Amino acid sequence: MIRNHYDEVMTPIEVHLARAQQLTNLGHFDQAAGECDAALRQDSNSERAKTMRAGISREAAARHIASANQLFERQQYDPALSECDAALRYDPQNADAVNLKAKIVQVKKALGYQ
Amino acid sequence: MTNRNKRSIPASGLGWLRVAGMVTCGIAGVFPFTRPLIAQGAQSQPLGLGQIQRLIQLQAPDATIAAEIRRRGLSFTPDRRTVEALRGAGPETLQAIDELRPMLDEAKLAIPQTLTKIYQALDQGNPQAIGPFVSPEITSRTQALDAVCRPFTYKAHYVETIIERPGRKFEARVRVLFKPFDEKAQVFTFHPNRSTFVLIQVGNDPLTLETEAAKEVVRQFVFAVRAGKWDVASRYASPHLPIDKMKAPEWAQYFDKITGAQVDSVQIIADHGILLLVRVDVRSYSAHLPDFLVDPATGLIVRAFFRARENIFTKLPDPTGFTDPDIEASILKRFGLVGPKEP
Repeated sequence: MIRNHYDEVMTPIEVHLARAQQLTNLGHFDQAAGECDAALRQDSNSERAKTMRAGISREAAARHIASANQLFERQQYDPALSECDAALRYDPQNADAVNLKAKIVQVKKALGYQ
Repeated sequence: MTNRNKRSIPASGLGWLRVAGMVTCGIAGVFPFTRPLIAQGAQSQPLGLGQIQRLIQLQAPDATIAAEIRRRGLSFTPDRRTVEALRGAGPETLQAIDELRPMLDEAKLAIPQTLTKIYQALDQGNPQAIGPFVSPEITSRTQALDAVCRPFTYKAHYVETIIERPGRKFEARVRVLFKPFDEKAQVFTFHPNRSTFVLIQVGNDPLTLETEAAKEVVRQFVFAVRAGKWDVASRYASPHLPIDKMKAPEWAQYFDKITGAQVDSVQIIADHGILLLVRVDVRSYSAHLPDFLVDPATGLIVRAFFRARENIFTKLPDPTGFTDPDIEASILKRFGLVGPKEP
C-alpha cells in the first residue's frame, strides 16, 4: 500500500484534516467534508474537526452563492438555481441561498420563463 | 517553532493548489456562456412596462434587467416620463431603456441650437466654449476645428436635414457660408449624451442624391431645348436663367445638331456657392461636351451650355453660354441674408 508521507508523521485525525484542507483549496468540498467526517469518526469530540467541517460548509455555500449571483446577472437562470441548491446542500439554513433562490424563481416568472 | 508546526503542510507547496482550487471553483462563475439558457418563442416577446417594474420591485440585478431589455426589446415606446415610472431602476436598466427611446424629434430640436453655439464659439476663436457639445477628438485638433469653422470667417448657416443612423447616431446636413463668399456643404454626426447631443464627426457632404437629380435635370433640359419646348426647359432652369436668349438663330442651329444627352461627369464645385458642374455628351460621334451648373439646393440649372476652362474640345456659339445673373443673390437668400429680385 502506498502511503502519503503525511501518514508517517501525523496522527490519523491530522491526516484527515490536512487532506480536508487541500481538498477545500481545490474546491472539492464534498470530499473535504468526507475527510472531516472521517476525522470525527476517529474523535467525535475533535473541536478542530468540527470547526473545519462547519467552515467547509460555509465556504462551499458562499462559493456556490457567488457563482449563482454571477449566473443570475448573465441571465443563466436555471444554472443559477442549481448553484443555489448546491449551496443549500452544504448549508440548508443559509438565508442568502434561500433568498437568492426565491428571487431567481420570481424573476423567471416575471419574465415569463416559467 | 514547534515540531508539530514543522510537520504542517508547507504554505508554499499549497500555493499552486490554492490557485488551482480557485480556477476550478470559479469555472461555474466565469464560463463564457454566449446565450441565456432559456426557452424560445413567446418568452422572447418584448418586455412590458409592468414586467420591468416587477423586476425592479424584486430587486433583480441591474445587469440582468438591462440585458433582458436589450435582448427582447420593449412592447411600449419609452419616453422621458418612462424614467419616472421606473423609480428604483439601476443605471444600466435606465441606459438600456434610453437606447430604445426614439430621439429624432429631440435631435431635430437640439442639434440646430448646438450647431449655432458651435459656429458662434469657433468664429469668436473660443473653442473652450464648445467643450460640452463636441467630442475631445475634435476639440483637441486645430485642423478638425477649422474644418467646422475658422475664426472670424462665419457668415451664416442653415440645417438642411437631420436623420437618425444606426448606432444611435444623428446626421445633420448643414450648409454654411463663410466670408468672403465660400459656401460649404457639411455633414455633422452627433451622438446623444444624457441631455445633450455631442458632435463626434465632421465631413463634407457628398451630395449623392443631389448629384443624381442634377444628371436627370440636365438631360431633361437638353431634350426640351432640342425640341424647342421652352416651357418645359424653364421648369428645369432657375427663374433668372435667360431662356429667351437660347432662341437666337446661331443657338438654334447648334441645338438642331444635338443627337443625345449622355452625362459624362459631375463635379462638386465651390465657386461663390456649392454648385454641381454637369458635363453632358450631346453628340456621340465627336467631343461635344457642354457644361451646366446646377444649384443642388434648388435642383435647378443656373448656368447652361457653357464651356468650362479646361473643356477645350467643345465648340459652342458662345463659350460663356447662359448664366443666371442672380446666382449669388439666390445663395444669399437661402441663408436668409439678401433676396434676389423677382423675375
